[in-house]
Amino acid sequence: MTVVFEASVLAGRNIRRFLRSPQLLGDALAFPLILLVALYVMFQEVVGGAGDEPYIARLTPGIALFSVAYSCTGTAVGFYGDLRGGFQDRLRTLPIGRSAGLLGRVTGDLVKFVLVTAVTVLVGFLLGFRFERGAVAAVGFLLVVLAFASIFLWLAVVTALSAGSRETASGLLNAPVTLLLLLSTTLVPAEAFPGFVQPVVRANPLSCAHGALMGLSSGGPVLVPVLQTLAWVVAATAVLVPLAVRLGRR
Amino acid sequence: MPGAGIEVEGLRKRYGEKTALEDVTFSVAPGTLLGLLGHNGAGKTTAIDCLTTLLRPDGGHARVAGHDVVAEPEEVRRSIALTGQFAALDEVLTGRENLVLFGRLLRLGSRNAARRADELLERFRLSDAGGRPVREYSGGMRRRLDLAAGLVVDRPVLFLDEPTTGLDPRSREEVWSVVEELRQGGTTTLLTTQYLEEADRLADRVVVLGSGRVTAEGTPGELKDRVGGRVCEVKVAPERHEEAAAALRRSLEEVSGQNGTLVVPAPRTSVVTQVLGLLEREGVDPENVTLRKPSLNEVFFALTDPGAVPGPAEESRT
Repeated sequence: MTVVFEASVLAGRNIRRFLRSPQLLGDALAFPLILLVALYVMFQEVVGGAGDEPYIARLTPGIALFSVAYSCTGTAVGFYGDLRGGFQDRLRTLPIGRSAGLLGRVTGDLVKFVLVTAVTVLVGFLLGFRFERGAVAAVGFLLVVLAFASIFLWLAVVTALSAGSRETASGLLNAPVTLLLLLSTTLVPAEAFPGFVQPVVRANPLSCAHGALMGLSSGGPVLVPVLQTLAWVVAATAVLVPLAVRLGRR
Repeated sequence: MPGAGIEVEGLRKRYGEKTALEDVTFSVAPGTLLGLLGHNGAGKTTAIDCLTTLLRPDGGHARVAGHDVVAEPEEVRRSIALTGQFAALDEVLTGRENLVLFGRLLRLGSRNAARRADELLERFRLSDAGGRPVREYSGGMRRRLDLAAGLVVDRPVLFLDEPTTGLDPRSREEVWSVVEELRQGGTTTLLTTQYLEEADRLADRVVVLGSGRVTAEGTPGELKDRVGGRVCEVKVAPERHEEAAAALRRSLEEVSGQNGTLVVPAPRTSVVTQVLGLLEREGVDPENVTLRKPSLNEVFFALTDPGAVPGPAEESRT
């Protein structure tokens, strides 16, 4: 399993880069946190009563999901730089495992996601968010976030492989990810949307994962939303991974 | 060190309709430096990519340090170091961290990787900059660090893809001295360059690539002699150009030029008499005859693409 060692060395590089780039840190941590606090302050009075639970219990899981999806922009930019800058080529001429580069990036990013989730949950906690279903459910919460994030990880890889410029690589995912947040159950429950939008809101992967996270933190159905989330993950992986492999060969 | 050379035979590579390499054959003797000379798009980088296992050739064979690049890519990767056109480094990490990273990937172990990184920083005069992120480095420093990253473990074969393109003269000189040092240490080196001067300075032998084919091969001295230290330029009436060119081609090789300007290599002064005699026999009266040094442009064009010597407009610059 030498490739595991190589991937861990490259994952370490990835994490170090993240911690040393003020812009990446800002994008991945500061922006979602500002969003969390701002949305809480703005909406808790207006829509706070729409559900049974305190508004922060609804907002925190959604922003955690948005944070990890949004931080994939950093993944796309980083990977794009490696591809165009020659770093990836250098790795490919070294006697290391073929998959070490990608594996290192994915592992490093998963660590990054854990960090982003932890910080988001911590700020949520300060505003009143609580894990009320115990420690096992809290671990499940994290796993659902990571599974959801993997969709965007693959999207980021595909974006980096197909982008023609650094600007494309950094900008392509922002708008769709923001749209997913707005059309999800994060801000208001699905019933609060106009009838014709509701199917979209319910099918939104962010809503599915959000439902699972609400279930695992403040209570509610868990199995169905978890299965829905996994369906999204499986479908995205089935489409995006072969696509990434094909783009990578060119 | 037998077998640590490079042998390329009939190498071919196409990108869709475009031919990047067509039947390219050359070899680099162990411990020598071969300069692969050619302008942009000549196929230099494609050749390097095939030899470093980054690209799979469509045809032909290539062996690096005795290993076939298609059948034994792992063994090839264990024998080579590559420095590309772009400094393939992590911009955010420090110079030292970059070297340690590659050392660890190459199984030196943390402590040895750190020691090796310090040695290399010292050798490439980067010790003071070792703790700074690479994005703060100058072009020359980056290129030196990139070279160092290729040397973290000793490899018998080194590939340098345009190591000085875009560098200022001083940084270029620094890179050159490192490459010379390595060659003295017995490393087999394949260096691509657009600069005749660079090939002249560093290479034992030169292979000239033009449009994916080998157009000339020899020592730098042989190539210079082939083009000739001087050229004879004759001006005739433009409408008689073809006629005059045909007359000269009867006894002279490598006649080039256009629009009434004919250029012939003139290693000996007697070529001028020969040219005048041939034209007289044809009944073409030259307007002007000059004997001059070829421009760098002409040498290059003559070697990469015979018959496409730039016209008088370009020549007048030299």
